[in-house]
Amino acid sequence: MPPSTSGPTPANTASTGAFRSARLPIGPRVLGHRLLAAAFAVWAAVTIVFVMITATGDPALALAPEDASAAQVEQIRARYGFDQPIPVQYVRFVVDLATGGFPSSLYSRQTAAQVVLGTLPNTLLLGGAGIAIGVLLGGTVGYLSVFARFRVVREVPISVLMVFQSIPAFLTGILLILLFSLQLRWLPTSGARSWWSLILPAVTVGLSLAPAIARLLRSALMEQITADYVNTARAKGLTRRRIRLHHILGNSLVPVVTLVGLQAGSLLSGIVVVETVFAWPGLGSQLVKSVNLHDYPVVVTAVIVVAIAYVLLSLLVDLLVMLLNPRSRY
Amino acid sequence: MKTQSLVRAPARVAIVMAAAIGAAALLVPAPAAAQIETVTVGIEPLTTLDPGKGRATRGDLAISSQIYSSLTSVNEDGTLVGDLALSWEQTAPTEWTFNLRDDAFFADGSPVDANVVAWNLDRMLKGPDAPMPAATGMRLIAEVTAKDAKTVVFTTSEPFLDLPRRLAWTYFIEPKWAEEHDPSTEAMGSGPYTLVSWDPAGDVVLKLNENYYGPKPAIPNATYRVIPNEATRLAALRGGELDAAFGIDPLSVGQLQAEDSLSVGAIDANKMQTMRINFGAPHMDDLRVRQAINYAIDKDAITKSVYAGLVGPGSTQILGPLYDGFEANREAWPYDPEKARALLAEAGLSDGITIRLGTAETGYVGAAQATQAIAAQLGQVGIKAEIETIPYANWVRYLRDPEGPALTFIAWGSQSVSTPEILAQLVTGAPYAIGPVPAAYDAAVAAATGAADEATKLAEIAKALQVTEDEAMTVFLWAQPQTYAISRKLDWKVRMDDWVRVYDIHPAQ
Repeated sequence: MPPSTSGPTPANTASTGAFRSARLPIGPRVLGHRLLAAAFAVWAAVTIVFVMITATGDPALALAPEDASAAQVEQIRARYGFDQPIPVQYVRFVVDLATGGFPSSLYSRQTAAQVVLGTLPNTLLLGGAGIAIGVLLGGTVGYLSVFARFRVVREVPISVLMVFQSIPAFLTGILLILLFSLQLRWLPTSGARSWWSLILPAVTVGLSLAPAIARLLRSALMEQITADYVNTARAKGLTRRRIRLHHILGNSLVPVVTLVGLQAGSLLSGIVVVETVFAWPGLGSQLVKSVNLHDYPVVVTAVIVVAIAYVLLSLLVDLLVMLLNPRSRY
Repeated sequence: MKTQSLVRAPARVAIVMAAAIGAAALLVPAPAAAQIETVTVGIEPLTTLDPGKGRATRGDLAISSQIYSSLTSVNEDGTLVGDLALSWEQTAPTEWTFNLRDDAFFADGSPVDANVVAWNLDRMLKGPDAPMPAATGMRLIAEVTAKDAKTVVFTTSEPFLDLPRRLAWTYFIEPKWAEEHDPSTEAMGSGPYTLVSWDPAGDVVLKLNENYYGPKPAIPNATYRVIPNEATRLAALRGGELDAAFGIDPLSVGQLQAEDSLSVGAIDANKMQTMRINFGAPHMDDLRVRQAINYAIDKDAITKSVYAGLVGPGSTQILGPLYDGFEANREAWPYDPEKARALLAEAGLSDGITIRLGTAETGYVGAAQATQAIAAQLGQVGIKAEIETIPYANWVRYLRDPEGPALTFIAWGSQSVSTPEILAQLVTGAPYAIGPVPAAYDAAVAAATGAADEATKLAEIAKALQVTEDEAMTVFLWAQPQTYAISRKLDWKVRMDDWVRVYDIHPAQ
């Protein structure tokens, strides 16, 4: 039976046709709509964080001497405009942002953007390495749990991996430090001084992502394995390996890609725990410090960066899903 | 030319990765040789290099105090010695004159003279960012003038006997350099070390300043490493990545003691942990209630358990031993739950009361666990204590809240090791004091602060201490344990104040 473009066998078109298509799988109208929604999401995140951080205390006390009189604190408050009502401060902040007048960090002459962007490469490096490990590990284990020849290979790795789903990342991190830094003395405990330093935090991130990926891939593969198009492919005489890797796996990737995309987005803010455990000088560590110091320009800027990254990632995921499954274009 | 996709060449990826790992391995520092060239010390998260903005002796100031110079300095035994100042004297009741050395220079060769001192004080007290955090305890300074290059005169609004002590943590930057550079992230100093690199979330690297006017430090290079997580810091110590760390949780001290390479323990800090009383909270204006709370706390049991016996019960004063007027013969407030119940009954509160109890998530060694134990012990005499654990971000604001809890866990300290500065923390209207305290205390502290001579100052301090006890103005607890873990290859006499400075270190014999 030839593959149909509208029937129940989108697999072949998805895994062959879509990748060959040079056309952007998303119309300008849809793209515009998405960008508008994205801008709204960023604005909402900034607003919520701005209101929360200003409502929980201004930084005047942190910028004043310990024994400053109330009048001196008030003087500092007025200098930075913290004495204004929150809506006024908010409008001024948004106008400043819109006109490119990005606020400076309260603790140095650097702009908040410089402070935040300075830490971003470290976080992207850690996040990227962590996702790569998570996808490789989760994907391999998920695949093996369905297609491995021996039962022990099908069941043991996924069971072991599931354990990590119930262990919080900070505990995984500490356990890895105890084993690889203290017991075996192979790797440094913390910091970002050499490539060796990346391994433990990246594995920690990877181990937090891999179980969900493995499980989802497993259930997707199980679902596809009995589909009609698999029988068709078999009837066509395709090799088992080609059916598994090209057809079944290809069709199972849609939910996995969506999951990885969503996790990658939330990872940007969730990575803070791993960064703290491993003293990794990234965006998360900076965010914690700036919240403690009430350095609100840096906090809000960090949130803007995270929100934009999240939105871009979800857009990217949608595009990928559309590439993998053309039906979702409409 | 690289035109092939990496994906198609897994072997190349492997080779590149192997090369990268190999190169990285070469970059990992070799183990220290017999002569100690460098030490690595764990430190609190950093914010700024600017000595006008730094606050923490365990953090920012530990770094800037080694890069910059001050007029005076406090020794490990609490005595005041000169740094830039060769001598100083009180030339009038409200005037101090400091004579400066002539061999102190910034790295660019410009002198650290009286004009630099005056400019820096002006910046902290009157500049565009004034009053800066470093202006803490400088309320009485009215004017600072450079009489000549080597003589600087401080005029105060009233007698200020502790001024030379107060100036022990005031560090000076170069005025012209500061116009073109950001002192928050860069440094050009005159102290024993110079800055090599500064990463407030990673490593801060210092090396010896060859032109330093003072005694040459024994350790030529130092790295301060920020590791916020306690468990990771302990692992780094055990793994030999850190040579020293401080402020370790008392309950973690035991597990480090098994390490042969480390000397681990605690000394009493020059800082007393107490429960601050909110005199405006319900029942707290009643002396009997305040006394009952003091009687209800079994300090011996808590220091033995929560603090692993590293400290013992403190005496009835908020001063550590390095402070002027510290009274060594004072004893701890006795533990007597029966008496506590009786006092509450006398106050008509035999049915019990409910109070709020505030504590910080981090900051004071052992505070969170100790607060739990204190609440349990208060419960045994009929005082139900509801604990509020506050994140560090909101702590200062919480401390200043007039509606704050009846009791708040706090440790009092002064970088200047100045007694009037500590006592002033409890006076009516002080930023961290709530409600009116006994007038006799306010009067004694004011008299000690503005005393014209040492004898009067000490007499007034003694009066203030007595009022603190008689009026049960605070809940007396214990000294903060100054916990440490230091590599045995180092000879580092741990200080009772919080300074963590490499120039205090020598190689072990």
